[in-house]
Amino acid sequence: MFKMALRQILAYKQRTIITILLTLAATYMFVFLNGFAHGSRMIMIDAGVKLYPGFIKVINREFDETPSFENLIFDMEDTLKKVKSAEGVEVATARFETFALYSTDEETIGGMFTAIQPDSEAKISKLKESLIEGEYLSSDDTNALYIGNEFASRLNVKLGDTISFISTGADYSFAADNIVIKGIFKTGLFSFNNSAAFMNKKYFDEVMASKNIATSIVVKPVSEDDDEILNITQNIQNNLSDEFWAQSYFITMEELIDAMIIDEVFGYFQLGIFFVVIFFVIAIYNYLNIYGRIREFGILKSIGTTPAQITKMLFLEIIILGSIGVGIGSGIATWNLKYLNENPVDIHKLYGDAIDIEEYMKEYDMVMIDAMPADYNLESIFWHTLFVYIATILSVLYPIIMVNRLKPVEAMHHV
Amino acid sequence: MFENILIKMAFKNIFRRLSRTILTATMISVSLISLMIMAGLYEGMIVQMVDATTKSDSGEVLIQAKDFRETEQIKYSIKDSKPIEEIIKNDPRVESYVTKIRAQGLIATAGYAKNVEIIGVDLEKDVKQSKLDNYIMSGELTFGKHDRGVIIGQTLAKDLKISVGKKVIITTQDINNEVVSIALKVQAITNSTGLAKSLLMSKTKLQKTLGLGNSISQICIIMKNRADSTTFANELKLQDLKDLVVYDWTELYSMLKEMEVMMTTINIISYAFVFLVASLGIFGVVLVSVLERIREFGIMMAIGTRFRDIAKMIIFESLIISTIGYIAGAIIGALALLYLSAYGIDFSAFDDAFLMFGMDPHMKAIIRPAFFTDTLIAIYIATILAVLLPIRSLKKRKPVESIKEL
Repeated sequence: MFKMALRQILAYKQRTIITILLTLAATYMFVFLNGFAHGSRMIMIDAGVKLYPGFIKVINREFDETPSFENLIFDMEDTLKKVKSAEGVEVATARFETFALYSTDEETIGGMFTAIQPDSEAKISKLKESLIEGEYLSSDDTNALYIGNEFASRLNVKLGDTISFISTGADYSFAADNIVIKGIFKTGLFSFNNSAAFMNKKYFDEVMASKNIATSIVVKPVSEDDDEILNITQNIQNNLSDEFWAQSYFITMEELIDAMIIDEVFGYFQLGIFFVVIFFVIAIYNYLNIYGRIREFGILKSIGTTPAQITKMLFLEIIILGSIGVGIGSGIATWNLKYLNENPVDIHKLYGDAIDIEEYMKEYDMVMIDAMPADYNLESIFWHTLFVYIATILSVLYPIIMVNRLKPVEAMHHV
Repeated sequence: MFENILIKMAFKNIFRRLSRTILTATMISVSLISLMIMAGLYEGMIVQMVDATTKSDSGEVLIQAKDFRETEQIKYSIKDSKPIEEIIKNDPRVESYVTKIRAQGLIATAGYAKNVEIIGVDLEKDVKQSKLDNYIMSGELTFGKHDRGVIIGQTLAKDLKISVGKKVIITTQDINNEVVSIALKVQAITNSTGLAKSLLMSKTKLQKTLGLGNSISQICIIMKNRADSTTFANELKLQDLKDLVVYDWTELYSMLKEMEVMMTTINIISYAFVFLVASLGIFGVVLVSVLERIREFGIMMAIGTRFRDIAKMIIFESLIISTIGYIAGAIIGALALLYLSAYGIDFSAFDDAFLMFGMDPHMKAIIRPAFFTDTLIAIYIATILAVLLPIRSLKKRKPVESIKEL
């Protein structure tokens, strides 16, 4: 049976070449485009998480619904200790995030005002490595401010300048002080650079009456694997009372993750169109081929070949053709994905003049990334390849049913 | 006369192998339906984004004081807008215009604060232009008694966890650089994508609070036909407007324009790819159909039919199959687009993600005549290209000689 299938494949070269080429193209497109697009989505999420929000965040459960000073983490040291003792936690840091009005002689602008623990913060977010001027904060800093470059520009201040801030303290008192610009940072997120400023928490606590109080505790887990992150989040939650809520980035970054899901759905829709037409063409060629061999099937039936054997032979033909096309297509796609995973595409080169990518990221408040690596995930490649393979095999279903319906004599008379 | 006979023969021939004809026509119609839905939804998405941004925010032509756009400082305001308003009012291409105040500030609830863009509008006029009444999620479209109310964007409301009826404190800087605060009540929450993170309040009240007198920050103009916006903006730029700057929407939102171009490119590539593959399918069908009738063609030629006429008949056959596929695809595609333009696809479960990109979560398609004309041309080109090789192959095999094989 296998030999017969092989002979048929060699005898009908046109069908063989077209089926192989089309399955190859379909597999390559499906596996490669998915891997490449998925890689770019993953890097956007990864860059967004690592910039500042963090993989895991602990807040007072009520703070999510009512983000007021009534619902903070009041015994910060104790909570921080419990968080750090959870299995899978590498580093944890406390933050106090609020808003303030910043004033110079001429300007008054509202912006984020956040207290951080400089040493542990440096291990979790990209704040320290985003320094472009001056110095990063230290744990013994007093009235020093670490400010985004765009924010500094809006306030028209430079390194060493003094500005005033007015805010509400954790005890609802009026808080104000003069602060000196110690460092200026620039991250890949324009809106963050445009509105964020940081202060050493020790000094911040004195001014804002927030000693041993935090709005959140942010955690760097030992692993960045999604399942591990969920396990570690659960471990942290187990160490805390119900008053607190340990949230993974699937919750804190839900908006971005949803956006990526939508992008993925649209990507599949677009590929689906190509797919449908490709498999119609494969089906047409197989149909034409099988149809052209009806007399041959009639003879085979008349000499006792059963419909099951004919079905088996036709399936064998498409399995051989599909294996070649899908195998080559998947192989090339896998190799390309591996290469682009190790040598990410320069995003500026990818879009060229077609789109101002920096402006695009700024417009949609997304973290600017310079390079896009492809997602080299063998499991994902396997499932996408299998999908094309099954679709290819199913494309001969209709012609097989049609051939098996014919009676031997009827088939032999077929012109 | 003979052409009619050829068409009749072509018709009869395509029904000889009905399942083959149906398969090919189905391939064409399915491709067409998918492409039309894709193009309709993508273009609809862009139109919605442009509409949401221009109507609720800047208009299609925007006039601001020099330096306002770069600095967003209220000191750069339009002191006397009357002369320019006269020009706008008297231009027949202008549909409507509104004047607005914009300022940056801080919005605070009892326990939380956030920076915010404050927009002062004349609500009655603004609703006519922005159709804001269609985008109210909760509350009433009013600034309340003595203009003490605000309308806030969906994202801002979510961030601050506030609802209709709650009090908020707005703090900002007035024209003399003094910090000023006002307490206002949330009257409504809007899901207009252009206002997701903004706050709307009475223009008069904001003018008083900021000490602006009658000055305004910008004039937002909507044209009767969006295509006129660039010309109109250019004409205004040529006038002596002193310290005013004019922008048309493509300058303000170059990203939207670039996205429009990118979507068109994606659509063209998709159309080209789909019809290239489809032409491969048509080619296979025509080739087999031609080769299995080679003796039939030989007989036709033996009784005087010219090869040119046989070629014509083969082309007619292919065009008829394509036309059947096109008609079926165009009808189903049009119905699908009509449905999607009237009811759309509701992605409100992902509304935050859509708002992040300034997109309406209730995605609606648009229908353009070009969807039908362009695809018809593409299908016919693909068909003609697909039959050329089979005809050439037939000619090489010399049909007349094939009679001898009988």
